[in-house]
Amino acid sequence: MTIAEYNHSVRKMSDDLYRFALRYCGIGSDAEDAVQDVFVTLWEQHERVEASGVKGYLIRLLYRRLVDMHRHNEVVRRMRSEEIGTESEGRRTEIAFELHDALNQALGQLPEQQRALVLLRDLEGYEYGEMSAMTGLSEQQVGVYLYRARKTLKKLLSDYR
Amino acid sequence: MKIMITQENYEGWLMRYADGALTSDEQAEVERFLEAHPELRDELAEVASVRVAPVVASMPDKERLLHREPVTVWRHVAAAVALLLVAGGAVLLLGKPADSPMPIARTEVPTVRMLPADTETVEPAVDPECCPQPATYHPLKKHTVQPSADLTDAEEGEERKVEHEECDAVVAEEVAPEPVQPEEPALPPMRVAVGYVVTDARLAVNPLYEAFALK
Repeated sequence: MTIAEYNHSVRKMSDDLYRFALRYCGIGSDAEDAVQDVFVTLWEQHERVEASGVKGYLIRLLYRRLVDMHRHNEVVRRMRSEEIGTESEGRRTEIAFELHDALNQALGQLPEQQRALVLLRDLEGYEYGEMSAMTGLSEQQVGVYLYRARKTLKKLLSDYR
Repeated sequence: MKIMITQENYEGWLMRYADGALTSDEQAEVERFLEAHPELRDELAEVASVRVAPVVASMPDKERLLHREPVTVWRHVAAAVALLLVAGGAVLLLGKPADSPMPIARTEVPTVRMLPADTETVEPAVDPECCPQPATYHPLKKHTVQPSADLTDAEEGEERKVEHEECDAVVAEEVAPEPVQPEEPALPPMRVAVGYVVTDARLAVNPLYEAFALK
């Protein structure tokens, strides 16, 4: 893609990516960092990336970046809880969401993979084949995760009300 | 391939059924399963109703992610020419000790003109010609003589006369000890002149960079 096409994708896609990242990680600064990293990578690769496929490319990069960030945060959290020795095994990660709406609070309680899939489906309109390719899960597994994610969200949102 | 929908794997099937991601055979199979398990219909309806809405937000300061777009060829050429002129001018000015023939030095630094038109370095071949007396030859001549290089051909005749007059003056001057002085004050103005050229060139190039600026 050309530099003009790169710039076009920044203008056209960065808000969508940011919203996705914000829903995923719940923290504005982390979402911003992730989106910036994604565009830095795109810039480095822009001569090899076709303009027509840039949206999928960016989403895949962002997804990977967010998963990496999530794993890193998990490791840090575990190390801290081991140091403190208070957190019981298996307790669900409480994500420090800055967005205080009920939906984001509920999203923050989903397992990472379920959260990613429901966002890919609802925010980006991904088909099962695409989600399967991106996550390495079968389409049936994707369906299972989505079903459980929605079921949990429904329950949490009902409780919230 | 026979589709087996069970209590263990129904979630994936129902979800894909609700999302319209199944073939017609698979859909029929799911519908048969739902007839056998009507209690799951309500659950499926609830699950399928949940959708995550996009948050209202936008990427802060996204302009920093943009890159300069290429400009048209003539602008490249213009920028390259401007830079070459600047670089060439700077090299020429810096390369000469003083009283450079570059017009910019003269117009911008009037003090240079006030110097005896003599601080120009002399080409060695000229010296013996115009000052043929070996007995009075002195290295100090280097700082004298020779009209500035920017005289035109039409002035050639005058130039010769000037040379001779100045040569005489040099010979006479050699009795006097220190004609070196004029070179010293010439240096600071030179720096000013160089500084001016660079600044001026930046101004010349800047509009191009404004054209690069991203909206």
